[in-house]
Amino acid sequence: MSLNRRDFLKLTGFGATVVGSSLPRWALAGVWRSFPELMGKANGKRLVILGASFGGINTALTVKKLAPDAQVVLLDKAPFFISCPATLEYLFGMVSLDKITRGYASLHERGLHFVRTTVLALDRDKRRVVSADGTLDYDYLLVATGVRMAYEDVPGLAERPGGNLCVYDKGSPLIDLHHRIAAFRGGHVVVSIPIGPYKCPPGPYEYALLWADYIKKKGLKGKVTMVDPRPKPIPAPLAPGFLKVMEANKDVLTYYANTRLLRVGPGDRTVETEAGKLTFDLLSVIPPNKTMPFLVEAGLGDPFIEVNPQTFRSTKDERIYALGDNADTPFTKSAFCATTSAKIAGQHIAQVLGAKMKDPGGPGNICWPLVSMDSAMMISVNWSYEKDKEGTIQIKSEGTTDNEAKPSYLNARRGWEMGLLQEMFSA
Amino acid sequence: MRRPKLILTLTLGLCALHFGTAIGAKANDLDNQSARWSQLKNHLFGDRAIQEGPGGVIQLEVPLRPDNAAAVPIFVKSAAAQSPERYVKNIFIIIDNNPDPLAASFHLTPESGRADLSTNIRVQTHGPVRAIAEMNTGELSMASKLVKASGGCAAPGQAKAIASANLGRMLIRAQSDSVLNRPNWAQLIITHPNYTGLQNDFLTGLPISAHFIESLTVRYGDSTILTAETGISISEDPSFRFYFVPRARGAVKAEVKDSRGLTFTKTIDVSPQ
Repeated sequence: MSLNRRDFLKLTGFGATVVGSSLPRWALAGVWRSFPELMGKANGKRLVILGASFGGINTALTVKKLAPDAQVVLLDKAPFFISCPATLEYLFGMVSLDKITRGYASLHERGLHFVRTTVLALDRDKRRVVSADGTLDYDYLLVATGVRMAYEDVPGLAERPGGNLCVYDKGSPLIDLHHRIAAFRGGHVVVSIPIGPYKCPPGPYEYALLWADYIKKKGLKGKVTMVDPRPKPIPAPLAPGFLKVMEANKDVLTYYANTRLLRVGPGDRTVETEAGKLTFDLLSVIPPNKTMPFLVEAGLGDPFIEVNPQTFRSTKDERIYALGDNADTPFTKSAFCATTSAKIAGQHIAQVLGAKMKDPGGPGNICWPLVSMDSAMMISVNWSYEKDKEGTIQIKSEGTTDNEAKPSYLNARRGWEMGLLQEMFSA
Repeated sequence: MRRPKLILTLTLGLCALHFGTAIGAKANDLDNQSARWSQLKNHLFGDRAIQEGPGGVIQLEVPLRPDNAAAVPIFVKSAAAQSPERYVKNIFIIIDNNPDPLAASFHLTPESGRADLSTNIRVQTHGPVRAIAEMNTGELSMASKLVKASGGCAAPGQAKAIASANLGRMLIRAQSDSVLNRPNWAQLIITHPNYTGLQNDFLTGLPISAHFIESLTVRYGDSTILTAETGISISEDPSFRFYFVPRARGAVKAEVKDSRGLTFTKTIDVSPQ
């Protein structure tokens, strides 16, 4: 294991002599000491949640319900909530943005606190979050930030800002991509995904297939190329279904399996891949997904936060929990998995705050991957924890899949999503 | 190189139990210098020194938390070009905690141009994955990464009927703008279930006996560019990507043999410019 900043500080005695802190060096210099306190001192029952999306909000609601005297504070930099499972439908004009966005006001009405700010650092020893707007002390902390897109890890990408339109970028790149698709009259679309884990495994395959379908339905002179380091589309049980539709679309869609994107460039319109140089008109590279640098600096794990997958408690700090895309677990990185994990973690946190807990079981996931603008497949998985003969806890998974795309699954998907939003945002 | 048959028989029974992810996985098994590794190292390389760390000959890319334990992409690359004086002769892929830890032994020549390979492996439980390069001069160099995956050797493959209908169908792709006297890439994809002997048929629940690719040979014209011995730790329908140097117009010919004595061949013409 490589030496992280925290170990390094300890080793050199630097951290110990200054404040014994897990803060990065610039913060140790005292910059944040002039920051205001966002709220008063923690009362022993304050849970601070980084990230107000599926994982964060559902944990907050679960904790508040089971431990009503807990003070739950959600922090997020987003001005409003966008439901990421609807991203692809929004991009291709199948649903409008206002249908899938929500304000945070209803959270206040349900007894939660929401603060819009960007978190800069974490001081584990003082149990303090340092944000751009001020500091906030916690008794317990939940990290539900989701992942960041590590653009700097794709050679050539950081030098071409705006040259890439990633489907997983929330906010303005999403809106830009929506308009680019609407204005698309022809050309070559190149899609690539990273070798490591990324959020929403079927997403990029759905995106490539939606492009193919969109080009054909609109009669455009376009083609799509997908560059994939994996041997087959994922999730593995749906590979036959994806490959079948890809084959049916091979007049416009080329799928390169076992192939890595090597770099973006040279020039503004080419990428180098293991299958040769490709010229593109629209580029959608999904860069490696990673945790935020301030969480790495705090020594919580890299590239994802190390947790016990049964309780979602950090293996490094018993006051900290993490779940969703940012946690290193065998569960899928998806909104629904974050939601089901949140209900489990919420119970564990409420128990620590004094509430009684039933056996929360294991998380689950369900997903209806789109293969065209009017049909989808289906996959569902449930995880459970079982003790083996030696007393070690094993995680078992079982699930069902349907590789036959059906229009009814698309309706099921929309109904499911509206249900989730209703649960999170109804006052 | 002897395949570690001994280790295979010793651990088959143990690993069959390991379907899930152990939360309390013994820290020792995840360690780069585990007892398991010293046993393996001794068996495969005796007391020869193995160079490790940055600045080594070999680079390895494999995901920490793969999405499919039965098809984990692995990329191995040597920093230097292959020259007749100094070249990577062998590359070994070792998965410490698999029932058959030696996943593949690749043998390269100066005509490979570049020691740059990729394939797909099965990972049965958390532990290190290693790539070890042996130079023609005998030096050994290693790169290793921790992989957190489970059940890759026992995960059910596609339905048996589909698997047997297409058994041995091969696809060879070569660089479309191939260039004479320069390293060019080629990719060999073999339709083969590569049954591990630890899988059950998901329709009948009955165990499936092992049936896997044992060796492959790729030639270009008269020269051999790649040979390999493989085992059950290679994925179903595996892909092998490699480099070769065409000296004239010719054909890439692949020959694959499996554990039931079946042989499959495929040839494609290449006309480098």
